[in-house]
Amino acid sequence: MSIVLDKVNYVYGAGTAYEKHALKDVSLTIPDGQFIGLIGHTGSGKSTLIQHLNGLMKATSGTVYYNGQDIYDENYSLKELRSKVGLVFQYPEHQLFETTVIKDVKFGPKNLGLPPLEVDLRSYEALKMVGISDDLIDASPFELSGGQKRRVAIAGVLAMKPEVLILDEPTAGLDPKGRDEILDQIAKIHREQKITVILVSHSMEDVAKYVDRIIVMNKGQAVFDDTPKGVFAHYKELEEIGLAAPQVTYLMHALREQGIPVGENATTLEEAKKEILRLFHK
Amino acid sequence: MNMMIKAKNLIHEYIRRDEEGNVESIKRALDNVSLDVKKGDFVAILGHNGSGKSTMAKHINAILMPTEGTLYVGGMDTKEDDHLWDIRQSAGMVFQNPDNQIIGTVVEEDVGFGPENLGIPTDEIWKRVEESLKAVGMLEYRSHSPNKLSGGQKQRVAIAGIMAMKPQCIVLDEPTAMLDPNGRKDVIRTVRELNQKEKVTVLLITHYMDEVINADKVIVMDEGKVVMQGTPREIFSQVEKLKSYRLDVPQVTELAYELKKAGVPLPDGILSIKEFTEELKKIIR
Repeated sequence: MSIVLDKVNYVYGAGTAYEKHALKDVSLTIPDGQFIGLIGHTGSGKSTLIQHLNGLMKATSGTVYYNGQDIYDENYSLKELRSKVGLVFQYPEHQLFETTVIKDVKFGPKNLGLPPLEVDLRSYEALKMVGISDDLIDASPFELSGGQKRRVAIAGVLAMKPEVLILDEPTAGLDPKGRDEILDQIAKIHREQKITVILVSHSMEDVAKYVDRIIVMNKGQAVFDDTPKGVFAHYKELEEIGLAAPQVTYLMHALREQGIPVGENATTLEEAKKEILRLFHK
Repeated sequence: MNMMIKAKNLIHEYIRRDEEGNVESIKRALDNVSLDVKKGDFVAILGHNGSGKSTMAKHINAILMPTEGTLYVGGMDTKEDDHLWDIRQSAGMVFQNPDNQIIGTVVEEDVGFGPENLGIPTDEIWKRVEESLKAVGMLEYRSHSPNKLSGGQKQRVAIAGIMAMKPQCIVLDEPTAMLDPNGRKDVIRTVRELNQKEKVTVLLITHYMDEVINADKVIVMDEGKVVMQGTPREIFSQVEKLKSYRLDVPQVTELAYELKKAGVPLPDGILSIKEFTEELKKIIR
């Protein structure tokens, strides 16, 4: 059970003045159950890449395999693929359209042709997973706060019971607490439902805190693919491509430069804290 | 007159009415807000979604009027109709979504739109367009189409459009929320330069704590009230209080705070890597 990309290329506007090679020979394996962070500056190919994972975009050349099957095969059901690989776009709350929260969430599973009872059950469960309380279930989506709306939109994808959940900057525009709440919930869903999660994010601190693996995109290529520690060790190269490491990583390097013997590869607050406390417990 | 903005017991209520005009609900978005912003200051406003920050911003260039209380912008009462255009010219606004505020098909036309509407002579408009684009570092893009620019570049064009109207004050409502780290850095650097070189008063509304550490003053809003006011150091020294308002502190500030709780005698309100390093060195040696 996995997604495999084999030398995927995608060219926008081939043969026109705006021709752009958005993906160049991208080969990746995404096994079940990983929590992956996808980072890269605007225009690096992140969004193009994730739209290949559920067949919304078709590679100009190369192939995508889902659980060993070529998704470009004539007989392959892309509709089924899209229910298994759920994609939450940026600002998903703009896509809420129903009159009540629960109706909006039901829209996806209903379209899968599931029996009504199953639709109800899944939708309710999905709302619970994202932490929407019972009293909001029949509210109009427009009465909710920004963070709540976003969680309802995510529930709409979860209700389809995807095996892979892809979120494109799920925290953009939210306040700090709202960001933490959404990410904690996503981490919990990853843990409890054992699904693969791919998180597109601009926050290096968030990525370092939550994911097992980071894929860095630049100019259409996957330039790094490693654990957070492995990737952020290359902080100088990351800066050259418009990215950065978490602030604590820079701090550890600054401390070492001043002759303070801390390990330099801390990427989260907890790790940095441990490293510094070690100085005092010798 | 060195006050740019002065709010006295400002109250704003959003009133919802049904079809017959009966009041359905009242939401108090600003609740007795009093604050001062000095000319030339860089002031940051923090607060969670729905805390009243944007409502406050919209009062400053008279998009919204106070329900009660008074707001003076450059000494003018925003409630007096006679001042409306003067106020809008002294306080320019930049919003979150760069795509919603660019109207021209060429960058320089977009920037010229504001001064043109003010009835500025053509020669002067072109002069201002050039100066403003230069100030935001976008002069080389003057004949480009805005829709081929990145988000950060679009925001800088929007800022240039405001600058071309020569405002005394710019209000930026989460200008970096939709940008990547590079775009964010460029926009914040641009705003800081405008503040320092052109002496424009800046009011920056943001959710990113690292954009705030160099401000002259930080204002924290919650439930429509001003709940904290002070220098970045004073504000970020109060980690728990900020968290109770759904906010955060920069990562080094939080690390210092956590270490202090664990017994390391670091001072409160460390704001940068440099300060952290200096302070830790003192303790270790």
